[in-house]
Amino acid sequence: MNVLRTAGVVAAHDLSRELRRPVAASAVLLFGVCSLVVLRLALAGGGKPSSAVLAGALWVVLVFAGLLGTSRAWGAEREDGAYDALLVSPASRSAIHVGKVLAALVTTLVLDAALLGLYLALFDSPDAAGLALLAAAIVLAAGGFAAVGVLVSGLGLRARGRDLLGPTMFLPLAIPLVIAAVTLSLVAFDAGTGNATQLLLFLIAYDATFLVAGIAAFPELATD
Amino acid sequence: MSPRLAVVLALVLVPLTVVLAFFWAPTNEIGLVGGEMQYDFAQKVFYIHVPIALAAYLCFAAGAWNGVLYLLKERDDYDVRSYCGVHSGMVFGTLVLLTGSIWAKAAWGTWWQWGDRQLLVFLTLYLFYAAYYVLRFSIDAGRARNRASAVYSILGVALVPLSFLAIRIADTLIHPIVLTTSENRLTGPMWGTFGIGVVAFASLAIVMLQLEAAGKLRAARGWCADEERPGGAADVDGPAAGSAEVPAHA
Repeated sequence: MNVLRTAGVVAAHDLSRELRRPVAASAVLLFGVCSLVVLRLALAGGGKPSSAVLAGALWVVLVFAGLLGTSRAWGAEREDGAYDALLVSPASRSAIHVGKVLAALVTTLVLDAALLGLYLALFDSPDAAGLALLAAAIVLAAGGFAAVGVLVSGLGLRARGRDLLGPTMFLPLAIPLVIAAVTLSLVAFDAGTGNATQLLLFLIAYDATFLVAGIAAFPELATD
Repeated sequence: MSPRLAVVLALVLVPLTVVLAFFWAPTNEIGLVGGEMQYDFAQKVFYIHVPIALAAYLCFAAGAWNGVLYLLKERDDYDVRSYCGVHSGMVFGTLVLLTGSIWAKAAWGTWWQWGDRQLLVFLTLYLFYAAYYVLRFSIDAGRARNRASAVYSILGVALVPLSFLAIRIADTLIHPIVLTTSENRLTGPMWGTFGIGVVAFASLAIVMLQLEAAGKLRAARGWCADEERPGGAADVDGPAAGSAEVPAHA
């Protein structure tokens, strides 16, 4: 079985499980919705918030939603014992990792699309070009969240207190991505002076770096 | 660099750097204020702050390199050296944050500038490596812990350039950029002091790293010998004599 096919099978399995019982995704979605509503209420007084505050509010919600959605990528396998079965299977471990990242990416994209829609309804919307730039930033950031989240989940496979460990490792790793995404969002809101092309290229490089790091690292972590 | 040479260099050059920074290197003129020339005394911190930051990166790089060697050869002494690299890097990282705050207070009038992304990125790296301890000590001692620690220490190598690239292409940089290719703001004595500082703190980093690794490896060997003595605690899973298996506290 080649790498892409294995990755597709793993991704399809994770996504079908999430579709059958969308416990994690619905919890993350509800968390994101509640966070946006709380932010809208918190920013209701004192006139219109600045673009920097609006961009910051959006990315606070997206980062924590990404963290919650991706850093328990191996949670189900650890709980039902399927992880050990995966280890003894002949499937390439790198391919399994890629499959996990694909599933996390699709889930994160769907959640982010829903949260962006609510954000635009609750707060100001940029013009069409700005909205396209914002959407591009969110898609590329979702790739980064998926790559880092699954990697962090793999690192904590044998650890005690995995649920606490995930955010501890995820957030520092996500900081460069957040810096670029927030700067790009400010450009989208016509409030920043960053170079959009450079920032988009940076996000692509970030995604590629952590995808490759995960592909190289997971076989080292998935030991008996 | 041999351990003895590193010790001699550290003992001689670290105090020399401090003396040269404060008594030899010239101070930049800021400009006339009320008819009197004002000098940039905050610049003195540069000769200590930047070499310490470079020493911190050297230690983190040593941690990552030994992590790579551990993954390739699976020898426990590489795991100890990787841990010691990160540990020494954290010590220097703490000093970087402290000296950076002193610089910020002298230059900007505030201990910390939240708008400065370069400071924030170093804080991020510091938190990243702080999480190394949480990861390492939440996994039982053994191969799984060593491998996870090695992979994590190597990830820092990816995070450092990405972090600096992110702040370079973001637009609100206010951290003073002293070393640039377009404008050389350092004079000869300044370069001399800075160069001596870099060698001094790099030597200190090497000494700290080697001392800690040697101590931990010696403790591990002693621990193994105790396990093997008649009447000692029997541990059928314990490491073989002479190996460098690390005790749980390492």
